[in-house]
Amino acid sequence: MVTGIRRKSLWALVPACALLFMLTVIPAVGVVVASFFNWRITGDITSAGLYNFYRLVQDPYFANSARVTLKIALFATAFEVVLGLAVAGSLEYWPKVRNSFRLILMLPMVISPMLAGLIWRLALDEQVGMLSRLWGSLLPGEFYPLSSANGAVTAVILVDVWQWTPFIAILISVAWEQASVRLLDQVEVDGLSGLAAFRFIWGPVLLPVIGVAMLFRLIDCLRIFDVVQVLTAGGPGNATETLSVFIYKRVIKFGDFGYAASAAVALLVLASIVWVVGERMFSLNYRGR
Amino acid sequence: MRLISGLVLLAFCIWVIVPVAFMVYVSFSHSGISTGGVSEWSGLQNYRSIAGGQFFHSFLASFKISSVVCGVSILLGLPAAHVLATQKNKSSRLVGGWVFSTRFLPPVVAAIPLFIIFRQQALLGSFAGWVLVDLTIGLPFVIWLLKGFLEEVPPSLDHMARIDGIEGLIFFRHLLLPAIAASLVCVAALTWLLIWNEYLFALLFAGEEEPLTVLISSWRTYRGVQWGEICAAGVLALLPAIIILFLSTRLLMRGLSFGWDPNRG
Repeated sequence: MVTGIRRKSLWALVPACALLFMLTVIPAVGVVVASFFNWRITGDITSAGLYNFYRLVQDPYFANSARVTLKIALFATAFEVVLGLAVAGSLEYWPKVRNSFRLILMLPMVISPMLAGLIWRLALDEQVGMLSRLWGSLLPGEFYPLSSANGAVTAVILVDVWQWTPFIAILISVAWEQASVRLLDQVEVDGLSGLAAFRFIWGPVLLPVIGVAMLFRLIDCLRIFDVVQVLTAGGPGNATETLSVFIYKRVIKFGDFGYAASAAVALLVLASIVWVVGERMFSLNYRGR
Repeated sequence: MRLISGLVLLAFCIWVIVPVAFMVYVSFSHSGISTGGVSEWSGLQNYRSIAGGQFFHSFLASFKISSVVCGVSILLGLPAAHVLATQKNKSSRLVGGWVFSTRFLPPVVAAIPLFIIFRQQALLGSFAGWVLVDLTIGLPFVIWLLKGFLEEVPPSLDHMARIDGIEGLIFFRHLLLPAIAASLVCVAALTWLLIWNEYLFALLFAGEEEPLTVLISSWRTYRGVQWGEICAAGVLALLPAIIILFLSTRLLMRGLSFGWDPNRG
């Protein structure tokens, strides 16, 4: 039976979804359309066909930024998963402090990524920073992490690991806690041990959680902007110019909208691939019942 | 094993806290190139020197945008979430999946066309335009999370209301709202924090009304490095987040992971 409440409430979807459609789908389509035009801040818009994409493929700066973005995403996600597993596993030995420890772990997550970048810029600062002074008192040589290309990329990865390892750790830890209550008996009853227990019991519980967490981290890293902008502003040179920073610069500094749009299409495609693959693999519609 | 794991936890705890603690420490110290690093305790001097200027204005701007976006998101998102949570058919699932997927749209992709359109319509730097853009973050967040929480409301509440002929606002006010109050507060707080922490859209769309994130990050670029003042501002910008931390850990975790709750697996 369809009651009055139900029929009316269908309309409740409309304002929110119409607005969201206007703000996400239309811009996404707009980006694709704009990428086929030579569109500059001066105002002249001419059809460019595939020229922007041709430029993109030729552009060493774009190739560099794609490489840097992938490097940051892969390394950060990998470190976060390994560290997160270690922390969550360790937490299983200390059930009494579990909740208070999770609270501490949440601290980096509620900090603005901009501020996280700033906090680490301070920590790495060659004059004021604690790390450079620690380095100075323990090891020989100068410590200017942000002025070398490798150092700067490492620093960006470091900040992401600092901020988001707790995310993975808490997710795994919560799943682990639940599973151990439900499944420990089962392991004993079935007499499973070691690898078998992992294969049949822990694997099915932990792997989906790790998968979902990885998907979140991968996509968020692919679009990383705030931390980079504050920590290195894409530098030194363009060593940490991630795709988002690349696009941002093309819009703000050069007013080269068409070209920026074509780079944005590339980012969109990359994120979509990760999203589609991830969703398939981990059946992400986990709450879509 | 217990010892090793304890050490791992301790080390991780230090690793998480020390950088933040260092910022707090610098905010109470004299610092700068002239003194060659951080020097002695300066009390509240850094806080006093930022209190007068642009900082207060930016604090208000951040507060205003966060509150407005949070309010609008909840107002529009709660009814939508209720539909998605109570109507289980193909189209509502499709809409739900789509709302979920918008969370993963890279913000810079949405930002470019909106930036171009707003520039032409003179909306760039206007408060209304900025609110609109921030809704791309706020709305999916609110809809998806509230949908999850609303699904946990026992259906008997709905049946009961229907038998008694309670509907519309009265149903919402007297039955639904009390049932989801805690989660609603948590979702609102996290939405507010998301916008408070937001940086890219603020940079592009806020115009002269610089919110805190934009102001603090601009200090290092244009006024030379003044770590004492930057840290003082950072500590103040961090305060709302710390307060929100002391809401329910479980609800917060679900919010931060965009609704993933392993308890329900």
